[in-house]
Amino acid sequence: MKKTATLLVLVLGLAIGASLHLGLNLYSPATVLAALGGAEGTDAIIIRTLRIPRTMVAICAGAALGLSGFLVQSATRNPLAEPGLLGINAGAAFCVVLGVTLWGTVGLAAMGALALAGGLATTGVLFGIVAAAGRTAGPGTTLLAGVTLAAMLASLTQVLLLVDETALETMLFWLSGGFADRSLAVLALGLPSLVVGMIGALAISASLDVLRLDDDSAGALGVRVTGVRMGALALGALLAAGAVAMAGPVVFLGLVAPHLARRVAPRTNSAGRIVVTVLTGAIIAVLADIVARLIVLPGEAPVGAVLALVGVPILVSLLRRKAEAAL
Amino acid sequence: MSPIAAPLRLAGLAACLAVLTVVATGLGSSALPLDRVTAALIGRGETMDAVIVWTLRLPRVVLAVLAGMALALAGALLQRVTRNPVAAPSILGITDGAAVGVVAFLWIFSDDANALTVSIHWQPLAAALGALVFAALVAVLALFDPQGRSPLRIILYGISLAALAKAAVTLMMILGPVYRAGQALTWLTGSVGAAHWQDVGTVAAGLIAATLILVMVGCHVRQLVLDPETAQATGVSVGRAQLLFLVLAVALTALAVSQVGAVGFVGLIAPHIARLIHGQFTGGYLAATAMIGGVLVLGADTLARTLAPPVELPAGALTALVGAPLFLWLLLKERRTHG
Amino acid sequence: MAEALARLRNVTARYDGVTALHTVGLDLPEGLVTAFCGPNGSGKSTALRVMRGLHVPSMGDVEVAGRPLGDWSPRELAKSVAMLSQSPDAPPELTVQDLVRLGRFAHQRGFRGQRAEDRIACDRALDATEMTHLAERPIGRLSGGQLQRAWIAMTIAQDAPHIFLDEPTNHLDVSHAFEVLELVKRLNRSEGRSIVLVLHDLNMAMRYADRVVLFDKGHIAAAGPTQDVLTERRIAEVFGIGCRLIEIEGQNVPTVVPLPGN
Repeated sequence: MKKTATLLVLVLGLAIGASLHLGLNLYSPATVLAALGGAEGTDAIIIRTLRIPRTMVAICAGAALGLSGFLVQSATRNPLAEPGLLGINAGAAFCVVLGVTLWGTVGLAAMGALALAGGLATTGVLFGIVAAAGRTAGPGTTLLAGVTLAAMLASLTQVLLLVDETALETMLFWLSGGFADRSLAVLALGLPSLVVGMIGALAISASLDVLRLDDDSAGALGVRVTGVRMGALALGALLAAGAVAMAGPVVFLGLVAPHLARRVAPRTNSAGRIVVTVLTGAIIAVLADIVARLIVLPGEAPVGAVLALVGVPILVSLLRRKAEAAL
Repeated sequence: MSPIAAPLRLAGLAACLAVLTVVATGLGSSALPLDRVTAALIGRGETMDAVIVWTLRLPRVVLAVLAGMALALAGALLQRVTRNPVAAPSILGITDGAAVGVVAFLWIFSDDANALTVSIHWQPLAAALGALVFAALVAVLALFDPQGRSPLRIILYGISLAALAKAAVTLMMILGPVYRAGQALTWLTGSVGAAHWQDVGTVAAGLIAATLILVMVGCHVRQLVLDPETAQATGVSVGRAQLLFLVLAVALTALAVSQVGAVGFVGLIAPHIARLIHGQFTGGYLAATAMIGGVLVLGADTLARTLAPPVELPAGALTALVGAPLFLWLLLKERRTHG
Repeated sequence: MAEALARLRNVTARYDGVTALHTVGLDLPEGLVTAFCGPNGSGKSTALRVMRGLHVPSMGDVEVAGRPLGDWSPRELAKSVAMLSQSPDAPPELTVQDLVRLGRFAHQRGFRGQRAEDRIACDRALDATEMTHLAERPIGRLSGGQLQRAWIAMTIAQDAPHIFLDEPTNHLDVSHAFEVLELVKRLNRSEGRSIVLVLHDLNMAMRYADRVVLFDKGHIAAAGPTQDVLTERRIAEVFGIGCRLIEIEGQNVPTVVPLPGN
């Protein structure tokens, strides 16, 4: 476990290094080091004001979305659950756009609050629907309901933006989802939510272990099933909202990261899994961001498209795994 | 079942569609009162009115109706073939597959000057090709599923591949020439936009061909509500019927999508509205579905261009706003009755 | 009686990767009620599905009503042989009447609606199964016995001289099971239809079948008149369980009583 974590930290370090060097302009290690040391010149400014912020945002958002996916998956015992596919990201984004449409530009704090409210509300609505579908509703039903909810919220967002052109200008870029060109200030939203989410997740990790059993058995072992589940979902929504406030709605990260983490560290308890997932999420986000700026040079691909290209094969292989119980 | 006879209900629907067509033709930046629209339609209006009606409004209105019909029929056929009430072209990834076909076509066949190197009339074919590839992928995944075939899992595969198709479209739009990308974007959000009689003719021809096929072999469609083995025992070649209707549904979707873009949820909800007001086992179910599809897309497009002028909302966004809640409701009902 | 309803020659069939029938040869006479009996997985359902063309054998020849199976068009075969599979399925909101109408498919052409003869056949089928009063009810709201009768009505409406039934008494309680088998007997005796059915309950076979084909591990252990096939010794061999045939006063067929442990 310790070895895995160390290895992942190392990989993350390498990814960060690559992220600072690679892009439209390739920089030598000397240039990067000089820039970090406070050198002058265009290259150093590009590295300091563009590459470093986007790398930091990617790390933070990737970690948050990965952990969010893990929490939602554990809480629902559903390997297909993911904040993006379940519409939580879309809900957070919709709320932010609604706020901007109603009150004009909003400050960072208000944006964070709106994203959180949207994320929580969507989570509530979604699991309300799933609960109403009754005990027979499998992971497939949850996913279907989530995807539909996401489609509806995306349409609503689109309509809002088209009606209010000022909002369109401010929000369109943020809405496309990505890590580039974000100011470091957004970290003030994402970092606290990541920290709170991680602490909360570690606090309930022992209960999450037991929650792998069915509800009745878990209850018999002394876990307050409903409480833990609600807590995990709320933390998941909080993390997703933080990530959305930073990077806009980014899909598939929450699905891919926990799944890879499971592959990397197959036999750990939830606490270990949380650490591994956070690291994996950060690594994937940084790598996807690098790919996004390289594959369509000189342009830049939305990181969401890159993640979908990786995420869909994983989703399909998950669906086809025999061990994954009945859907 | 309502006490009104089936032919009467169908006539009612047709009347609804006709009235909506006339009203929609009248609405717009320079609204025409109904009597002037009717006069222009029957060729007795003033020249100005006739120009507005015949060259500006009517092609768009008719195209919306025809595309809606094609999408609705595709949905009804898919729901029968998969024996799944939540199947639809957009949910099975077919719509996005068609989008991949169109965007790839625009990308591959435009030169540096942003002009197409081949005729635009090949576009529906490209859409059909893309739709067919994605439909085939979903079908293969669902047919050779290690966990056994199940109606729900087809949908899950469809959603996954739709996401893949969307990503592919995004990437191609960025890679492709800027002008074409802009054109593809307007088209993608699903709007009837600038319609010409030529487009109307293309969709109409396809729809007529599909109708002829359905008239000849339509009785097979009803038979597919039975499980495949029982259907076979009543004399249907189930495999062949499924393949035929699947291809037909894909072709109809591609036809509609290549002309009006990715208008979602119509193929999903039109058959269900038809089920509610007409009955899905009554004769004329497909006809009712088609007309409701026409009403839906025409209604969405008309709202889209009149709700917040001068902005034109994408018709696809409006159909999603109506379709998504309905879909969720269906999902709930389905789970409750079959759980 | 002279013509054969079905003829299997050297038929081998695989099902789910397992060989379910090993070079089976079988002749079924017309005009009788024939029961396929045997333990689970002995090949009786597969044999029935092969005879109806629902399952393609990997080897051998199958003839139905004097013609090789390959020579039949799906419609023609449906007009000659109706079949109810083991767990048929249709949307719960379908009404009994609409379900029964689906049985008329092979007799209809094109988009034309129902003709008078279709209506008559459906009414007769509903009547024969005593489902007329439930014709308007959705099949999702029927009891188990009613549902099974509705499916049988659909099969009858197909108006075929031969009817195959795969475990028609499955999921039915004793009284409903008897009800279904009485109906089968009536269809045979008063309408002259040949019937082949897969039955698990040997006592039911004893009472209602004219002939029995006993399957054992993909082979045919015995075939012939019911009481000649279902003997104490043979049942013990095939099912691996001891049993006695006991005459009960007032009943014209013996009762099979299994005796585990012998």
